[in-house]
Amino acid sequence: MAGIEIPVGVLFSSTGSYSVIGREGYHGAMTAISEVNASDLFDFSFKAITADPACRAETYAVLANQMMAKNDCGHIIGCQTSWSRKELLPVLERHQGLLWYSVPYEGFESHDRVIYSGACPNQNVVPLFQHILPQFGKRAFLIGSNYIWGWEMNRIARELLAAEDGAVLGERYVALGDVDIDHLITEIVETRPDFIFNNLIGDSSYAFLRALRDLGERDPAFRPDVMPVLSCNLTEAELPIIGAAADGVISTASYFETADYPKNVDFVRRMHQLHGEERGVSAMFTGPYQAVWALAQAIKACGSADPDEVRDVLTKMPLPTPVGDLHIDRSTQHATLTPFIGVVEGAAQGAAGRAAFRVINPQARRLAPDPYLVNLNSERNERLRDAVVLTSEVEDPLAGDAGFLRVVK
Amino acid sequence: MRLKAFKTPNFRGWKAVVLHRPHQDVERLTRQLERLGMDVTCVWPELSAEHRNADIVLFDADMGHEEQFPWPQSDLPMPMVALIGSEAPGRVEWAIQRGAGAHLSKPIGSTGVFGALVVAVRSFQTHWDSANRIADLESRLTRRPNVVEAVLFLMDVHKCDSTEAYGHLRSLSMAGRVSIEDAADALVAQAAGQGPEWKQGRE
Repeated sequence: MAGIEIPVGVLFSSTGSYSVIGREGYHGAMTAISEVNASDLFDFSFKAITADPACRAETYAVLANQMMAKNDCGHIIGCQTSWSRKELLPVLERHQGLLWYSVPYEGFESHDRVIYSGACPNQNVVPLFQHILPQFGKRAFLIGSNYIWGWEMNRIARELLAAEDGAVLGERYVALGDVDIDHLITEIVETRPDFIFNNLIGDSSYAFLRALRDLGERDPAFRPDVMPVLSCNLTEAELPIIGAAADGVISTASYFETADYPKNVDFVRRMHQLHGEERGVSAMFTGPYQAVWALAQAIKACGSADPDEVRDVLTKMPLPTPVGDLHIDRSTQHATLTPFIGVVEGAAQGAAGRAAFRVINPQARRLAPDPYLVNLNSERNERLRDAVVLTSEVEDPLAGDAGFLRVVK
Repeated sequence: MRLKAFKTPNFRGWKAVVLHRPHQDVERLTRQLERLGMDVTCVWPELSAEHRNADIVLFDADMGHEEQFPWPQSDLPMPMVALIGSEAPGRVEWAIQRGAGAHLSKPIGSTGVFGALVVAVRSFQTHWDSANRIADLESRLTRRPNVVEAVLFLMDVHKCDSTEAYGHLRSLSMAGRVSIEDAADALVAQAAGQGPEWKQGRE
């Protein structure tokens, strides 16, 4: 391996409708690549092969194919939406490459050619609801952008609420990018839910949060401390764009800048030195960042960049990264993650400080991935009824070691 | 949380039997089934009687043949998924006849398995719901003469028209918590001088 340069694809949308998080992913991957190249841990270096699909799903496969066929990339770090990931699957199969996909998604997939290091539903919506329902109530209003993420997350929410004898007071979808959301506010005023589960993305979400803040200023019954907005994908990356309207939103993520453990303090300080204090570090950044480091560690461990060899070795060991170890579950190729829950604070104070998430579940434990929710629900099989347990609440076998994902109490 | 309230299809703990010669397709299929929490048994060249207890069977449609199955085509004891490489019409037709409610195309990869299971289980349930309903309706058709006879009997007893007599018959069936046909049978038997047989007629 000594001295060789390994091409790695970096495939994020830096332009287009969801480019705010695309650029975070890009910066995360590129920061880690330069760190790996500067590190004396490795006797090889990465050569980033970058491309911008511009948030057009059909472009992803074309660019990935070029990366794998022309540039000889065995590994691609990238993709945000499920749509773009699905577009990549045939390309990955054709070239027997690996995609490192590191954003939260709706689950129900486990592809041999993908390493999933973002949260799946048992690691976000399920613990979020378990935490919030006892506190705020069980009458929900569900909203989302009109595509797979919103549909599936709200479907799971509906089932969780049904299981808890809760109620869905409304479920509404708006087209991607649509900012005409007054009808949602009207319905929320009429139905007065205990909380809102927001699966809108991008501009629609920003417009909704701003309109809801206006409503809360007119009528205290709709302030976030009374009727909070829940999210499974709001991160530090979008707080500056949303501004004051983000205040009080409760989001879950496998990483928050404010998560209090020693490695993270150092990591955040370093990132601030690198990119500036004003820039929040988010899960959208740390996901690809960790993926690159994990890839480097796996290549080092097996002495080869061959995707199959890398995949075989990476599920057998914790993969150390500067922001903490990454554990990939062998059977599902998904990561074991901690579902932090944070509430946005400081967004309304203008220039006085930067908005951030205050972690409200410091007791959170790492959860093994369960992309098909097989350990959560049970549709049938009377003879198995007794065997069904909420394994998401069972003691985590990995809880004893000192990785990044262990929460410091 | 009340787990039973969940409607997300869940195959955890299901016994899956894969009838296919040893092949990479089987390895990939097994991996996906196990990711869904299923207990997988791979068999070749044929199923045995105990496999009747499987929750789902995935069978090779390319080299498959009737003698591999210990039950007749008409039985359909569990949902089945055909593993299809050759899409020759004869093979597809046989797979359908053999009970496949869904299929997976070879080469089998990482996608499609969950969806195929959900479709196969749903079509299996739909098949049996329809079959049971048809059997019930057919049985009610064949018992129609007794219903007519019971109505005539009640018209005679109550000196009323047929609509009212049918109302009486329905009241009897509701009071006895039996079907109209069972109530009619009992009434006809009673009229013929035999004792009431409500219990026998219970469903």
